[in-house]
Amino acid sequence: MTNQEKLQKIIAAYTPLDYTQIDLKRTIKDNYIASAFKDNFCHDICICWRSINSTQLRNDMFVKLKTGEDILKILNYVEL
Amino acid sequence: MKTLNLTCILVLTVFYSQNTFGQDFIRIGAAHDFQKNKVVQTFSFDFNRTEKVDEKKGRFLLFDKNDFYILPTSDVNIGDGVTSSENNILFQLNLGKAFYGTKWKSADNLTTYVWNKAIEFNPSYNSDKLFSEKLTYGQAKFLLNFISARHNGAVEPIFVKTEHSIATGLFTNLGYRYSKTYDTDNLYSTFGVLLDYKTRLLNSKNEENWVFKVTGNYYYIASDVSQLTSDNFGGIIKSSIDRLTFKNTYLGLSHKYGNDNPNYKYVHTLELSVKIKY
Repeated sequence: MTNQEKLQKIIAAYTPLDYTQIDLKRTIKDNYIASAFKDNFCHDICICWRSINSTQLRNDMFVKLKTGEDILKILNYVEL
Repeated sequence: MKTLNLTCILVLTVFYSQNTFGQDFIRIGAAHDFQKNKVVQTFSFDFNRTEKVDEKKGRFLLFDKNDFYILPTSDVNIGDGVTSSENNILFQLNLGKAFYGTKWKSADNLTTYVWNKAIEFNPSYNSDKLFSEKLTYGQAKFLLNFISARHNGAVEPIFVKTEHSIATGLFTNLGYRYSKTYDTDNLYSTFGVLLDYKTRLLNSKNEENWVFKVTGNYYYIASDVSQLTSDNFGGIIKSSIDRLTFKNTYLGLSHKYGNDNPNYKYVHTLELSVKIKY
């Protein structure tokens, strides 16, 4: 499974949509995931990609990291 | 007792700038102080020019690994309006461990729910603005947080329509009080419960049409400087309603009642205000 699919699945778990319908170009906050779920969402990402910098991720989430593509860039970098 | 009438005239002049960062706001209002039976003007602002700070969650983590976190927090109120505010200077370092629950959905698949838990140990410093009452203590806290969010529908473009978050917990403070006012000191020890509730109703542009909040605490005072309070219990409850009136402008009503450290000074106010986010 690609990083893109994994991320789509994580996001889709917070929505009524199937993971294939998750548009990674769209703003996540309050469209797919309510802002109160921020910590849960970061937790899901950290479980899936263990080597990610969790502190940085949580501080940047929904601020610098607004769309799925923003997050994907980090995930692809982490896996290099 | 004479009937209390609250009449508020709001005068607002704001130099509107281009949208740079969503969390900055200016709030101007008028509050009725029931303790003193008078109307006071209130003014507060919040600027965050550092990109990394997510003001909405009020947090900037120093460290987070395997759900262990270190989070410095501060609450500083300096100025004229502090009589209607309880904590004047509060610094805390939250050292905690979060336990994230498993999500589940409603039968129609539109609502997502979760229970989160956390335990924290927080070295804290709390004083009034003149530093005449100083508290240095450790706080142990257990928190339970229930979150739910509902989408508008199951067909794109979807958005979050309602969000509820309710946190409740137990805490205990143990430390030392130095009172310059009475030139004495004592062991400071309290334990009690806390509540933090928030509901947001959003529109398709992700703007908050309505925001409801209730926060509060109630605690038993096991030990403190006896001259400061004759009460066995302390606590405060704050509630507010904010309504989006037009673009980035909110009309708000908030109520505060109770007392809190460092002075156990009673607060009872009702405030009407206008808040501009830009």
